[in-house]
Amino acid sequence: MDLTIDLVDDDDAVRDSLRALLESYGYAVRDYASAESYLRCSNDRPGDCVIVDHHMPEMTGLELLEDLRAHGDDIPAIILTGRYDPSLEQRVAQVKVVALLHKPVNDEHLVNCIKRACASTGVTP
Amino acid sequence: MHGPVAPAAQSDDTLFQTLIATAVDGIMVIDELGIVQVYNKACERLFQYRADEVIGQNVKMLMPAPYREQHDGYLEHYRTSGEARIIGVGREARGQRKDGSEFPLYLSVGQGALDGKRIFVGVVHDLTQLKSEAAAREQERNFLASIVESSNDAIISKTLDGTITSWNAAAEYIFGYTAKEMIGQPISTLFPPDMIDEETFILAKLAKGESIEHYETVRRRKGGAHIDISLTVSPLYDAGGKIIGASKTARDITERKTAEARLQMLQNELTHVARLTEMGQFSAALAHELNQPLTAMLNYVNVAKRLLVSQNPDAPAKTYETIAKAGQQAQRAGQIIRRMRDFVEKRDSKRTIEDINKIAADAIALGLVGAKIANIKMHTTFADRAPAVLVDKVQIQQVLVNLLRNAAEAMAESPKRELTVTTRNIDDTAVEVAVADTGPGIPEDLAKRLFEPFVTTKAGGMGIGLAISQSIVEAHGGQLRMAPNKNGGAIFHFRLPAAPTME
Repeated sequence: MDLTIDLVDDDDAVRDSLRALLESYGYAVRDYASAESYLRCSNDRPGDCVIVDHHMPEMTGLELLEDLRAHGDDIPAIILTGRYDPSLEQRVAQVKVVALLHKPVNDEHLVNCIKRACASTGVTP
Repeated sequence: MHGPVAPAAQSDDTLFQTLIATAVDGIMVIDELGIVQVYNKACERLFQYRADEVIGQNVKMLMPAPYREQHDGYLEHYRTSGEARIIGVGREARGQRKDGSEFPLYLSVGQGALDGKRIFVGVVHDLTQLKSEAAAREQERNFLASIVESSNDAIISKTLDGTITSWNAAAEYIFGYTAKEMIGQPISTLFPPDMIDEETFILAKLAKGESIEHYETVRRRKGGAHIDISLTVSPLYDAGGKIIGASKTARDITERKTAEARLQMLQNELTHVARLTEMGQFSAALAHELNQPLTAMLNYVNVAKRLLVSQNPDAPAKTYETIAKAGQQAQRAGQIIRRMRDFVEKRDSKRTIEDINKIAADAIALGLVGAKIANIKMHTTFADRAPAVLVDKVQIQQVLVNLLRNAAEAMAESPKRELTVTTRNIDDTAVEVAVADTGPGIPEDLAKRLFEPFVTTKAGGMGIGLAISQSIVEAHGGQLRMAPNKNGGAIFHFRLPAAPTME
């Protein structure tokens, strides 16, 4: 069975293009336009990895991960950011992420990170 | 022997006796040899001696040295020559009390004859209180004088025709002239030649009894240097209330003026820094905004690449769709840039008709204060008849300040330090502004990228000064360029189109 990736990004074009890219690599993708909609929907069957954009209105990507970790959810995570913010790196270290990636992201590098993320749960593509 | 004589007793005139006894001033009578004949109650109070201790004694016992020693001589002189020194006039003298203390007194002496013998009648008025009041007044005057002398402000008085009548120590210090040089001189000595009219205005106000307070103006020191002062002028009245002159208080505010100028400079600098910071935040916002469509484009392009090599039968259609989406994102990026540019232009559209020479002169004044200008020789060659330009004055100033500071910093280590600012009229259609230095010049490989952001030769430099300057000049329809200075160093120059005329 295909690995399922949950994708959370508020930018329609970024979300759509990333979904197409990940699908071209054979992943099943579920996408969400906000942290809140992800929290509401992702309970029936957990994804194998979550990719979240940090800069979102309302709840940020980092806050989403902090919330998940606080509730014991250890889903492997990758954070994307479009800005240079040294303090973000320190805070990200607290929430156990596989990678903090800067946009625009090289596709091969992204896929490698996803592979590492899924390997940490013992599943391989 | 001369026994005590009682003139009143002879006439048995009790009124006279009472007069003598109750007089407030001391009254005494002495004979030709100075022997006291009459000594009233007031004398007892003044000299502390009782009448019986004094009557029959030489009057000199009531006098301190040197009067005591001289008194017999006076009497002798008068007896032989008939020349009186005190008779009928009176004078200030000093008395000595029984306890040895002295006091000031006013002595008037009359001469009479009694029983064919000459007598002298002395009236003694105690001056102790008068003297102490006078001393107090003197002390007050000295006190006021010392305040005037110790004041940090120049305090000068003058007559209504402008002749200086007093000149304190601070006036000497501030204006450089001594009191001796200035008292009796016209106040106009202190006026710069072009400000001589000011005195007319001051005198007109004084004549109406009005004061001038904290009026900031300029005066001339000895030697001709100008100083900034704050002036307060008040009319001086005589006892009858008539205006007879004026007192002037002048405070040296050169230091304050210098501080104000420095503050102004710091504020300008702050504005400059604020603009750069704003520009920095602006760039960060722009970078983030552009990152989204760029990310999407990159993703779509990667998808298209993968589709083209895939075995998927839908690949051509999907590839087409994906490339179209990438194109949309490129358009989105273009829109963001257009929106940003509109914003910048709208925000900064404060264009006014300006004289380029004035902008350049202001920029030189602004840019080289506080910069490392030690030993830099400054030349300016301004066009005589430059066409007016329609510009944002502050922005063009910022460009020039930036170029001047770069030039000054570039020459910090150079043996020859000459900075030349030139403005040139280009056929009345444009003006060219050039800033030339004699620093090390710009290496060729760097010259090509000089106006790109984040390119710098300065340690700790951001490398955005020239990029911003270039965008400002471009927004004004010009182009900022660099050329090597043939004498070594670099020349930065740009042209601004002439403002449209009404013709």
